[in-house]
Amino acid sequence: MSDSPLRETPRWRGHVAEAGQRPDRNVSPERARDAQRAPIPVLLITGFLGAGKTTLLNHLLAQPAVQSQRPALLINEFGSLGVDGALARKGEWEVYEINKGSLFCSCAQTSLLTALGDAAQRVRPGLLIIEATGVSETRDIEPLFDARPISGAFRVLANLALIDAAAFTRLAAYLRPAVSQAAAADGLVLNKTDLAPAADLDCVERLLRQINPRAPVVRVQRGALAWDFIAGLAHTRPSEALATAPPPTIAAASFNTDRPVDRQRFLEVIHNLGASLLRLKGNILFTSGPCFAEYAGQELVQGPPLKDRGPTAFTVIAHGLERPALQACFEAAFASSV
Amino acid sequence: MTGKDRIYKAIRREAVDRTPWVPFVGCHAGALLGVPADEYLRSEDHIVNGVTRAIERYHADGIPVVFDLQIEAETLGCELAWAKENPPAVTSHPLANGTTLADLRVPRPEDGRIGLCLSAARRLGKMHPDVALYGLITGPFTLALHLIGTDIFLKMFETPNEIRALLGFCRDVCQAMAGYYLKAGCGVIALVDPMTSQIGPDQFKEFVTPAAAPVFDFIRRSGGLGSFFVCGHAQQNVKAMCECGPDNISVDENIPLQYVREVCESKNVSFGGNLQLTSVLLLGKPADAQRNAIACMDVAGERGFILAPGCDLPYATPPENLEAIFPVVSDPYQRDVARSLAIESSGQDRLNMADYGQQDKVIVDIITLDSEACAPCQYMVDAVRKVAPEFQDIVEWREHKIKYRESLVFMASLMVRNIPTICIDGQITFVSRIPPRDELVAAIQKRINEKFRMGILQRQGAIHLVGEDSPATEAVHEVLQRAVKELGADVPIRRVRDEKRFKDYGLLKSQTPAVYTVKYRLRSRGKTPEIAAVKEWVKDLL
Repeated sequence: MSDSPLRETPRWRGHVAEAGQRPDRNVSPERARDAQRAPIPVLLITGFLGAGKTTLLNHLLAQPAVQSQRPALLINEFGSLGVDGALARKGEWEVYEINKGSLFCSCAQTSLLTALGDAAQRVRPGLLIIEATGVSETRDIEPLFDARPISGAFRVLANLALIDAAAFTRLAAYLRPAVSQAAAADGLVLNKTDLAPAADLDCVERLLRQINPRAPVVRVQRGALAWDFIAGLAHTRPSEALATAPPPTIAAASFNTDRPVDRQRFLEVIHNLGASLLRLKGNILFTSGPCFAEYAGQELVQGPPLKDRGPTAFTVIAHGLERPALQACFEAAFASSV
Repeated sequence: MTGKDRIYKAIRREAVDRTPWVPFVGCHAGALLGVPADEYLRSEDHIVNGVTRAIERYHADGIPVVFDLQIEAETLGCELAWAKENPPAVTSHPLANGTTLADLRVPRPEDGRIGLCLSAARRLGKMHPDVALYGLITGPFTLALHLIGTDIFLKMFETPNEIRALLGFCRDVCQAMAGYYLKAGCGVIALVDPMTSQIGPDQFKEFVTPAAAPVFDFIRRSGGLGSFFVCGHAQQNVKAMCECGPDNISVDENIPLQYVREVCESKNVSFGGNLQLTSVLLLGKPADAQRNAIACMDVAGERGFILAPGCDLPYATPPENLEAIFPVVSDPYQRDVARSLAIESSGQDRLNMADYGQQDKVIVDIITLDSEACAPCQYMVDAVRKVAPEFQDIVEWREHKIKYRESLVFMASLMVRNIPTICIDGQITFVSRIPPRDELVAAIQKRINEKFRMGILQRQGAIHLVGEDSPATEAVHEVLQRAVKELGADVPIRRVRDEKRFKDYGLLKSQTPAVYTVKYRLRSRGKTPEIAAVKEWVKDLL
């Protein structure tokens, strides 16, 4: 351990990889031998912070089918450390932790390369599980395996995107990687299905199938995913996957005005948008009086208006149309628009 | 013209004597001094000495005083994890832990590490009056994310007013920081907002523009020059960035420079970038850095461009890679030499492609910048991707993105000079032109036909009938002819009648008529084969 270029962490039997540590470019006889060995399979897990990646990871690590593969973990989380420490201590797996905070751009790739280089040369796990940061682009990760110091040392077994069933439709319009991670995945794990109404789940699953028609979707609760699902996946490089199935447009539009809204026309707009409408939330000053409205899972709930917002201040998220079109739809509902 | 003049003029899109060069040296300057990043970024003296060393070694026209996007966040209560070879990372977010926006106040110049940064800026300004000093401040969206955490993305929908208020506060922080750095002698203020690459242009305009535009307006009114830095996949926001009113924008390798040039020129904004940080500056060699610099300059043109890395230089970037940049920036002759070397001298890395494309399948190689980032490359890859399935398993295609060194070597080995290019079985077939479907199909089919013919040649054989003209020999000949005819085979029957040649077959006249079958196999064409290869062929015959 002492001759490793990586610093040992007191918390786990693992290492902290830092950007800027230069991967070794000298080819030792040992490394040359390694290069001739079979590439290490990689399971890539993506998903937004809070989607349940750590819970899923722990669930996987508890399965004999995973333990028998001599796994190693590479955790690349944004701003917080995610793996359950107790479970990591119980296992014999190596843990690489890359906490890059806010820096996730090109300069952060060096940390990942350093950790991958060590895993390829020293640890040689039977399976490398990479938990990617929720804001990382999957398409940026896979090309790193082609980089010179580690070229040929890894092969991606599967790329899983974990989807928070309760939050995805709210997030999709605002965080680009939330959609691109789903679009690039070989398998989509719809997690926290116990926390979302059935209609909402159907809506999310429909959207996911449009974003990525080739990836199977599995519904789970509390990250309870069986290894069999992963074993049955076929990997496609993200560049190929994205090029053949561009994600549908997911647009958000906000309205903040004193103008009253015609309730009947407003309901017609919602009806006409149908399954394209994913979310709506905020205050609406109807000609008949103000109210708070929230649309989720194809259900519109109304109540007393929120005090910290203007009379008509709502945001709407839909897919399949651009923002100007979405805005135009709701503009037609304003009473003064006729 | 001094470096400072050159930078200021380039930012204003005025004519300059040569492309200005700004190495984004942050904690890398610590490596130049031999001190770890956590010590370097907390010491005024280290910063002054490290930046000075970088200016001298890399002949910088401009340079940041400090590249650390956690300075404001730390002052506002974010906890940091320090590292030896990295800038620190934010590990806690005060607005997610009970602090309210009302509890926060705009940092003063003496708060946290701001004071030492400003003091370093003042000292560097006096020591290097001819160098343009960049004051780097954390952009409003990235700072907001530091303060509230990743909940910001959900709250943009759930409680947009809360996020607007937060960004309003961040705008005030940016404006204050810009004022401090301008007062300390920095002529260029860079608003560095990498997290904006995570959102689309609609959200950018709704949330970021109202916070960023007033900062650039303030910088301009204060007599400074404003630059908007972003990194990551932010191509979708380049127009919106320009519309915030900066004098300059700077991008990394994830955005094609040609695209940035087109957008910026249409908005009368200068631009900078986008040397590749990892594959070239960190892992490459000086010649790679020079090639990359020349490629950037060729694309960017002569007006309104600043050559710079895409982002903060990694701590362990080999200094020789950065030292190699100035000669090609400053000296046209050195540039020409580097160009020639780029084409000719990479022979040491070249692959032996003599036997490329000899296997059963037809290999279609597409040499690209990156089909995800370059539209012509994408169209070319799409063209091949759509056609390949028509040939089922006979055709295999591969994309070679030259942002990776291996692909660059492959490109040089095939003698490809232009991007994008399609090679079929190693032969350059379509250069910088997306072939129409029929043309591409025809080119692939032509190669398949060639291989088919070659296969026939390679499999060719013959029957030798040895014996004088006699009824016995004629009887054998008739049998042979009938067999060949019934099989429909293209196998010639050669008669060897000359008795002198019988011994070549090891035969006596009494042993004729005799029949030999001969199978030819093509081993080499148009070249002198290696002796080792010939020995292998001979062994096959024994």
